[in-house]
Amino acid sequence: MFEVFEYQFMQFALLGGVMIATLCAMIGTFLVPQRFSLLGDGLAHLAFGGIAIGLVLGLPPLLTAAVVCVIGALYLSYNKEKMYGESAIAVLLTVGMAIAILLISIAGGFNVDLFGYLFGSILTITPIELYIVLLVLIFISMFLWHNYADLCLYTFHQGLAQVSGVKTAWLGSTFLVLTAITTVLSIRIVGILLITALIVLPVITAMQLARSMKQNLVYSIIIGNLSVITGIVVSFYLDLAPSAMIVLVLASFYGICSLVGRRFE
Amino acid sequence: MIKISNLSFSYGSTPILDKIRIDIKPGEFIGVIGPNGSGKSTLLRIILGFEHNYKGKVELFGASPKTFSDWHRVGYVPQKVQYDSLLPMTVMELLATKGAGKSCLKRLGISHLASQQFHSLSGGQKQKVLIAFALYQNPELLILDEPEAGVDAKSRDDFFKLLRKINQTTQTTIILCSHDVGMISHYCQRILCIHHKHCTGCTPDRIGGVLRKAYGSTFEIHGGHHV
Repeated sequence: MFEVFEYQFMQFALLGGVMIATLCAMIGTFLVPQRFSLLGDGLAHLAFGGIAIGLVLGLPPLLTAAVVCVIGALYLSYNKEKMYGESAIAVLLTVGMAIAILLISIAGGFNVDLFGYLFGSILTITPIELYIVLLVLIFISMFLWHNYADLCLYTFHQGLAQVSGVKTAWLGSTFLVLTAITTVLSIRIVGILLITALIVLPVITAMQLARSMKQNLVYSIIIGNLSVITGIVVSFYLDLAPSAMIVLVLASFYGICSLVGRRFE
Repeated sequence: MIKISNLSFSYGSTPILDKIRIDIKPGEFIGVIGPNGSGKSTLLRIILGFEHNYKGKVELFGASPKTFSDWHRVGYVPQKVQYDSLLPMTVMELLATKGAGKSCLKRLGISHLASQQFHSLSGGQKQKVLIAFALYQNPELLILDEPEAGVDAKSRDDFFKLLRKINQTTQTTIILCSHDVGMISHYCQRILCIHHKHCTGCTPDRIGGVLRKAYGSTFEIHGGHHV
């Protein structure tokens, strides 16, 4: 029955999935209430451009994707007051895809599986990638631990946070950069096209049940982890795409919790 | 405490404020009124350092708001519409920044709200929590941006009485932006009316003429209420 846990690639996939789900839930808990739910989508499409740059230059694609995404996050951070938030995301999204399409057409295609980046390839995750995810998880956990109260107030009202002495420019920019790094790492799990689900769905599901920000964070992590484990295990036995299965499990959790949550109100 | 001279501000090509001069002294209770879109909130945003692209000179405790860093001297209560009503944040989580805790709620007699979710509170309770937070570090200046909007008449009256008490007992300077001309003229010592890009200052007994200029219609103020 537990054959799924006997394969090393499945162990890696589950371990990576659990860590990425935790990262996405931690970021999403503060990103979603800031009305930036689609930021992950914008950054992921921008990452596709970064991946194409890496492939053309012969550099590690996820590294170039991370660099491009961090630049995009900083651009957004300095321009979000000057334009509508969703317009800034649209710029990132379309520019990223345009760069990717252009480079792919110039190179006449690549000898790598681009579908793996678009739809996720969690079953091929390597030990080095696991170590990188673990390091980022530790760093972001420490960042949240030290800045939790400030981030809560920043999420509630940025002006109030500024007048309360919170260094809002630094906090906002750092948070967006961490979102960019989380997004690039998540590409391995659910792919560029479904990344928003891993950031948004656990949080809006938890919001149906949570009675505090702390509860919302913990519930989001639990829901994200359960969905990733269930999605990977079910897809293993049914021979289906894990990324799609993870998203459908997340959506099911959201459907159930929105019904249960309303009943208890 | 606040000195503004020749302040001009535009949103894109639309001028909002034009060569405004204001001088606010310690201990004053100032009401800021004006029609929708006149620039009341913009003026507060400039004083609070949220808007940087203005012309003229603005001094907050002798420093430009752009570089001001002594924020513990300022308390701020934002507009009701600007904060998220879906956020599952408890009152204690909101107060956690700066180490503010139950003690600041006790001051206003609302300790029992500590574990409740902010969005589940009534309008009057939300006001009190935000004022308790703003007052936590005993600021010398309290700035409130239409905090009483959408609150019933009794809560609104209690709210203005609370502000007057704070002003009189602690000598905290208060700048309150509001549409409630009746309450403003009843409780504030001085009124600043923002209209047609300019600012007219007056005392409550001379508000009638200023209102006619600003709103272009006849106003009568009866018993502290705006008709």
